[in-house]
This record gives sequence, structure tokens and C-alpha cells, in this order.
Amino acid sequence: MSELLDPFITVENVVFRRERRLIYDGISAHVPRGKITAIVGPSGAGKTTLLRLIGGQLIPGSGDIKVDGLSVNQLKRKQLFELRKRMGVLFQSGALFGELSVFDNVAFPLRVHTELDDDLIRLVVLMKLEAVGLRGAFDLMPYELSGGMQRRVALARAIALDPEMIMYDEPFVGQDPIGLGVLLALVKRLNQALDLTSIVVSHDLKETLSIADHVIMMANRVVAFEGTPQAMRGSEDRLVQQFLNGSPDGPVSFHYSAPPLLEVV
Amino acid sequence: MLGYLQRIGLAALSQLSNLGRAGLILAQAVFGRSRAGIHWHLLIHQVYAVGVLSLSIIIVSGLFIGMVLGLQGYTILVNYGSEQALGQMVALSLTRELGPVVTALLFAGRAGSALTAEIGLMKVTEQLASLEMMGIDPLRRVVAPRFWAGVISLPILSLIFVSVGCLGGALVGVSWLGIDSGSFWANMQASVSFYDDVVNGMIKSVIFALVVTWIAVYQGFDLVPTSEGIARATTRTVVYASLAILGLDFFLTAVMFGGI
Repeated sequence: MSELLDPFITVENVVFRRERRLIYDGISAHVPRGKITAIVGPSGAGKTTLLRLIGGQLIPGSGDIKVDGLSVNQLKRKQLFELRKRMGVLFQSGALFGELSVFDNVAFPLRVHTELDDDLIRLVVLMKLEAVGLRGAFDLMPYELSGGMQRRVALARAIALDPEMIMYDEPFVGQDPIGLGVLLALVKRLNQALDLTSIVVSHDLKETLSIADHVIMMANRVVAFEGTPQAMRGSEDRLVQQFLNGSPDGPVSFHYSAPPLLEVV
Repeated sequence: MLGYLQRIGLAALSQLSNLGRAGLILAQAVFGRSRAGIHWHLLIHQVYAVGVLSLSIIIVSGLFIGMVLGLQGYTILVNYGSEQALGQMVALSLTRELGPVVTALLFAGRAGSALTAEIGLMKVTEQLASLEMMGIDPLRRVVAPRFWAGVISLPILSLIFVSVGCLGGALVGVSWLGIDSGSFWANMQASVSFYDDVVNGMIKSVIFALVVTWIAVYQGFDLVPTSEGIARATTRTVVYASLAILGLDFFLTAVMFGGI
């Protein structure tokens, strides 16, 4: 209950459209401080969009998103950039800078945002790389790494400035079982060791729920479920059950919305 | 009829909206404040990528265009017994028109398309989004250095093009066709005015540089983040920049040399 009284992020009655398509029809949710929150839901439900709204890269049509008490969509550009220094994001593609080595990628935010001398930056970068198990790969270029290693380097870069929260966008996509296990353990370990608030957007339900403390399920333009993983597994809601069991039939339609076939042929 | 008018109106509104967005992007990139001030090391790197790496195509093109001007000019002037004026013809054609225009067209093809593709690829691979989320403004970090590098490089490339073109004209006129070297260079010196010809040519170059680089960085920054989006945006950069150069050239020539 205390986590509900002190959420790190609150989303209140957010309506969001992408051109004419309604993505969110007045959603509300919260992300508890210091916990791992999983955002799950079918493809196209707007999970990544929610991350972009929290990061201020998108602006909602109406409603409010507060990060540590600050309304993201009310902030001026400079204030928003200051707030972002307190967030880390792990993008689906890793988004490493291709012309920089692993070391320089991780050092990049430190060189831009701090006045640390080169020796100290080297120490911090090697510590961050050690945390993701890639200290030995510091002099490699991104194209020399596997997809999973690129994501781990991106994770080291995301935690370089010691953020208060970190958002993972589909971190487990395309991972073999070992890579997936490594990333799962990393997310859990970093959250505990650095006292982070973590948000994990993922399709890998079983794995994500195994490390999550809190779950937000998005579907059909609304928050279909919010609570603990245990409560989600025990939910009798048809939509939640369809998602948990992977059923093709149920409240989430197989077809993208369209007029009846007979009307158009 | 009404539907037709509606489509024209929508297209006009869309173009106006693009222009407004391009203006905002440029204003934020150029006039936005950055904690670190001007990123000199990024600017120098971009001047190398955009300017120095374009040198070979500029020098080779300048040489051949100067040689062709020499050859064509000689065949016309010799009919009037005025082949001694070849230096004047080559120099004026290059400083007033061909230098700024051809350099800008080559620059749009070589460097403009590369700028669009590079920024576009950074958008597709989420590098721009990642910069934003690190609290770093991509307009200041990525767009501004590239924009200023283009504005600095193109006029210098244009000067190099004109110089090499004059040497090309001399190579054909003096060394091959036998025009007296002294009269070739003396005629050129006597007829080319620094302010009316060289400075006006440089003003053209600076204006082309602003427009070409603006189009290139905007197309890269605003593209649809797919591989097809990059292909379309690079094509648009070359087409729009070329049309803008040729249209502006007529306008500037009319103002500078046409007595308007």
C-alpha cells in the first residue's frame, strides 16, 4: 500500500492519438518507486508509446504524466532535458553510436554531462562494463558484438550517470535462452544494487513476470490490469486470461478494426 | 471541382507546415543554447567529412569544366579574332555562374545526400532518440555542427573550383591551343572585378550553402524512420536542393548583374 502512496510515476487519464488512431482512451496507472514494473500487452497496445510519453518524447492529447512529482508534459525543454538525465533508457535496438567503441559509447554521457577527468571516466566506464560482464570488450566496435552484447553495452551506457529510473524497451527480443537469462538477472541485480525504479516493456510474459514486482497490462486502448504478478495470474478477467494463455479468440481481436468484408467487396 | 480545390489546399497546407517545421528545426539547431557552447571538435570533424572529402570531386570537375570552357570559348572567339579574350571569358563564366552553381550542385549530390542519409540512419537506429533520452539535444549535437560545416565548406569549395577551372582553361588555351600566356592572364586580371565578380560569386555560394545544407539536415531529421524513408529523403535532398540552387541563381543573377 505504501508504494501506492509514493509512486515514482503516475499516469492520470491520458488520452493519446497517433494521427487519427486512438491509442489511449483515458488510461491511468502508476509505477512504484524502487520496484520493477512490467508493462505487458498484445502488439500494438501502445506499450512503447507509454515509455515515450513518460520520457517526454511524445505529448498526450489530454491527461497528465508525473515523474517524481514533475508533470512531464508541462516542463520546458531545458527542464525536460534535466529530468532525462535522471532516466536511463535501453532501446530495443541498443541504439549504440556506430562510430564509437564500446568504451567511448559508455563514456559518452559522462563526457557530455560531467567535468570528470579522463582517469575517473575510465574508472567509471570500466565499472559499468564490469557490471554488465563486458569489461573485456571495452575496445571493440559495436558491429563486432552480438545483439545481446550490444544491449548489455547499451545498458552500461544507460546506467553511466547513475539514473534513478531505467526503462527497458523489449530487452529480451531475439535472445537465446542464455542471453535471456543473463539479461533477466542483470535487470533484477541492477534494480537492487542501484536502488532503481525499473520499467520493463516485454512480450516475454513468463520471464518478465518472474522478476516483476508490479504489472501494468495494456489492451484495447485501456489499462486492462494493474497489480502484482500473483494477482494477475489469479485474475478471472477474460482479457487477462486470453493474454496469459495466448488464446487467439477473446476480447483482443485478431483483426485490425475494419468495416465488414461484405460491405467493401 | 470542390474536391480538387480541397486537395490543392491540403497539399499547400502540408507544404507550409513542412516549411514551418524546417524553420523551427533550423532555429533550434542554430540559435538554441547549449551548456557546452559551440562543439568545436564536432564542427571540425564535420568540416572534414563534408568539405575535405568533397575536394576530389570538386577539383576534378573544376578542371574539366575549365578545360571545356577553354575549348568551346576558343572555337567561338577565334571566329572573331578575339581568342586573346579567352582568359576573360573563362574567368567571368566561372566566378559569376559556373563556380557557385556547379559546386553547389555537386555539393548537394555528394555531401547533401550523405548528410541526409547519416542523420536519417541515426533516426532509424534510435540514436537520435537515445541522445534525447540522455538529456542531449540532437539538434545542437547532431544537426548544428553539420549545418555550420556545410555553410563554411561550400564557399571554400567554390573558390577552389573557380581557381582550378581557370587553370584548366589555361591548360587548354595556352598549353594546347597556343594562346599567348601573358595576354591570357593579363586579360583575366584586367576584366575580373574583385567586388562585382568574386564577391558576388561568393555571396551566391554562401546563400546556396545555407539552402542546400538546411534542406539536407531537415530531410534527414524529419524522415519516416524506415529504409524506404531514407531512400526517399536522400532523393528529395538532391532534387529540392538542385531546384533551389537553379531558381535562386536566376534570382540572384537578376539582382546582382541584371540591374534589378
